[in-house]
Amino acid sequence: MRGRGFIIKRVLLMLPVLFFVMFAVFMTVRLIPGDPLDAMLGGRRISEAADAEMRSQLGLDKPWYTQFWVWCGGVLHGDLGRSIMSRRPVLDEIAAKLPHTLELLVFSLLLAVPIGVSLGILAALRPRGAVDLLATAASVIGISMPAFWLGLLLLLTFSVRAGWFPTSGIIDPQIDVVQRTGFYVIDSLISGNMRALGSFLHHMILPAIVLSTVPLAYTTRMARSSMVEVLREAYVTTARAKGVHERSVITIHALRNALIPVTIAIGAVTGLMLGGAVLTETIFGLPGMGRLLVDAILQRDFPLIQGCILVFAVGYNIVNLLTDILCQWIDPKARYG
Amino acid sequence: MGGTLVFGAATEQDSLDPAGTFDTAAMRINGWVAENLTNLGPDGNPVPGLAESWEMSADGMTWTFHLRQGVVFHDGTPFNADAVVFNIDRQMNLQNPYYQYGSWGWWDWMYAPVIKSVYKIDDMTVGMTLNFPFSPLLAHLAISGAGTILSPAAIRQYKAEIATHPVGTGPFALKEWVRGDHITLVAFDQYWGGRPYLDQIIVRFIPDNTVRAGALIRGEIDLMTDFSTPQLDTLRAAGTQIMIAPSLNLSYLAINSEKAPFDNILVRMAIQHAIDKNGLVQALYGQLGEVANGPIPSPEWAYDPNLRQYEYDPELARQYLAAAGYPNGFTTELSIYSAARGYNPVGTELAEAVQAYLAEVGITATISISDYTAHNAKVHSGQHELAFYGWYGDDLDPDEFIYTFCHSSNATVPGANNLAFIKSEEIDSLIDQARTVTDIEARRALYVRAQELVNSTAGWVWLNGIKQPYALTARVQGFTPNPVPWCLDLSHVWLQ
Repeated sequence: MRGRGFIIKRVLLMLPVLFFVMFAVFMTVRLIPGDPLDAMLGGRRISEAADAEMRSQLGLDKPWYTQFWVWCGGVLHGDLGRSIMSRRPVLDEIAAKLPHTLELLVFSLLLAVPIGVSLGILAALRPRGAVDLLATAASVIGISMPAFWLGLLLLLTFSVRAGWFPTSGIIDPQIDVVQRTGFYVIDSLISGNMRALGSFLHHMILPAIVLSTVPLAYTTRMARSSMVEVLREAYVTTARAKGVHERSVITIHALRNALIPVTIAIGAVTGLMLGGAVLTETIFGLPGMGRLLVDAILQRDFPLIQGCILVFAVGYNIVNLLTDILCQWIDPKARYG
Repeated sequence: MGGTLVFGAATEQDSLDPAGTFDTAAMRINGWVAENLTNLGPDGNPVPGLAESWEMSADGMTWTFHLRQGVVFHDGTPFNADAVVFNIDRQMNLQNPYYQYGSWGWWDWMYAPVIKSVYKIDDMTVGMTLNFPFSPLLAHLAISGAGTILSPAAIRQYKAEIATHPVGTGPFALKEWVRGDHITLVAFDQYWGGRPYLDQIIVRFIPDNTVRAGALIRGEIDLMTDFSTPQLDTLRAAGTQIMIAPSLNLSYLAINSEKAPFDNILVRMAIQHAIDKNGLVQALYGQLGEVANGPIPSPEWAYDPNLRQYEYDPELARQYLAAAGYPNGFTTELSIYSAARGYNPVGTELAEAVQAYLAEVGITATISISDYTAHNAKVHSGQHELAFYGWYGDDLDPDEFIYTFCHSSNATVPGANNLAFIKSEEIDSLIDQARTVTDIEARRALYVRAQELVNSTAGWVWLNGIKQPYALTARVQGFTPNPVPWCLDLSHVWLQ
């Protein structure tokens, strides 16, 4: 009962946050110099009548509060408007690209989290030992290294010179995959197209490595420090005094509590990774939402920018909610309501 | 015969509706898929396309086009006068039910001022009435844009989605477009010019130049363009086929003559003498750079290599400044766009180079950087003092460049393209005359005189063009680069 109430309260709290985000994005893009017509025409001069007609077509002739009202109304009906650049519905544009970004994020986390958590815990078990030094070095490098630098380095070394990996794209263009969900992993498994799955994974390796550096750094760090802290806790000493086996002490008592800050950290890092996805997608030529958003901003495609940010905000809020629920499940005694 | 050619593209277009997009990436692909009444020939000048022949009335106000017989669109529907009229009507007529599905920038900018109406005379004949005699018409009609003819059946069927399903009469048909990844085109068996040798073209999107060059060296792609000197060296070292087309683009520095102290011609001349164009172009652009001498790029027939230039002479520049009342120089702002452009692959480095030259003569310039859209908004409303700008040519007719940059009708805000805001009746009348005269030699003489006058105003520092490099794998045969960069003709290419 208390758990469910907590979830409902959090979902309701999301709404004003999202509304504020929507308003902030709406106003910000209109304050940047240049508008969609400047982007479309690139300085070519058209008659006043043609200019008025284009603005009216794009809904840009109405006052800003009318435009905002219309957009909010649309969002409530699930209509995010049409992209100015491509004329396609914003939802279609996002739906086409979002799965690719999600797949990239998931693969990066699949690399970062198990390695980071293991590394952090092992480091905490033997402070200032060899593993600890390795973990600390990995964290510092992971946070400091620029994604585009690492990405280009990996590309040049392993794709261009060695030829072990493809130079760009998300899948070999000469392989046909029946698109059902938009997720290459699911779609290729459904149709049993192992060649497609293999090609996709092959293309994902380098980008996932690049994007995993920051979450790896954070999870290693968090896992290590929270594990060290928990190992010092009185109840661990008590458990040891009671004669419980050393391994049980670690796995049951300490691990459980140490994972809570780690889970929270993963939630926070996902937000950072959305930014990292932009760079990674650009370098590796991946058709994801990060690239979509950057192109939209450069072209002042207002509906598309607004739609992308809204989706990112909703996604980020959902991830945070899920991590909070996960934390509660790991340790029900803690109060996160 | 046969085979698949993989083209590595630097950017992906948003729309493939030719009438709705200025993006070179789109124009290239649309050039394979669809055609116009006139097409661009191998030397970049207009040749018969979907119109076999044409006549102009004696007063130059009416044109009659005789359409090619037996041409079909990729969906099997026939090409005829109705198709031509339908395509133009959806761009110019607000009442047309398909008008709402796009923004017709090409029509509004390049054709609406010129063309009054387009109408069917009979099934295979189309008439065009103009607002004034206009000799660039045939060249402009060949541009992948407003004059490109798509299947009316497809336009009716797809409505707004025509931007992802262009159906034309060209040698290749669009098979699929997986956004963000690739485009596949297949040879059109019933193409009126004969089925192309290639079976298939695949376009892959690889934004980074270095990565794209690597892909070509490894044979993952067969053809690429839009890259710079560093990749050129890498590709040459790897033994790749390289072809370089002349530069149909222009990068320049505009001096806003409506803002003091630039209203004083002595100050403008000082700036002209302060910049070492040859040194700058060599240092920044190397072997792909070509120093410009006026508003018209070298591949165009009105280019005159003998135009008088301002010699690099910092001492003379200082004297001009002193004579103008600025013996100690002054401060100003240099506005530039943030990302590299085709005519300026080094981006903001250009501003730094010019800033250094100006500092030598006592002019302290701060650099103001905005993204390309914001930069456009700034300069087209005349807010700049010194601004960098550039242009790509869409056909070989000189009118596009010199009218856009130098005519007084483009020196009004908003929407100014005459970024020096130089208003000269003499220059105007030469440009206006050259638009109506049909004889090429006569037109050329007018443009040469106009360029001399333009340069004498010292309002623009015409910096450079960038040559267009193409890299091909050894198996690609029969490719000749067109002087007009959006035109990438693959219909006569075969693979060894």
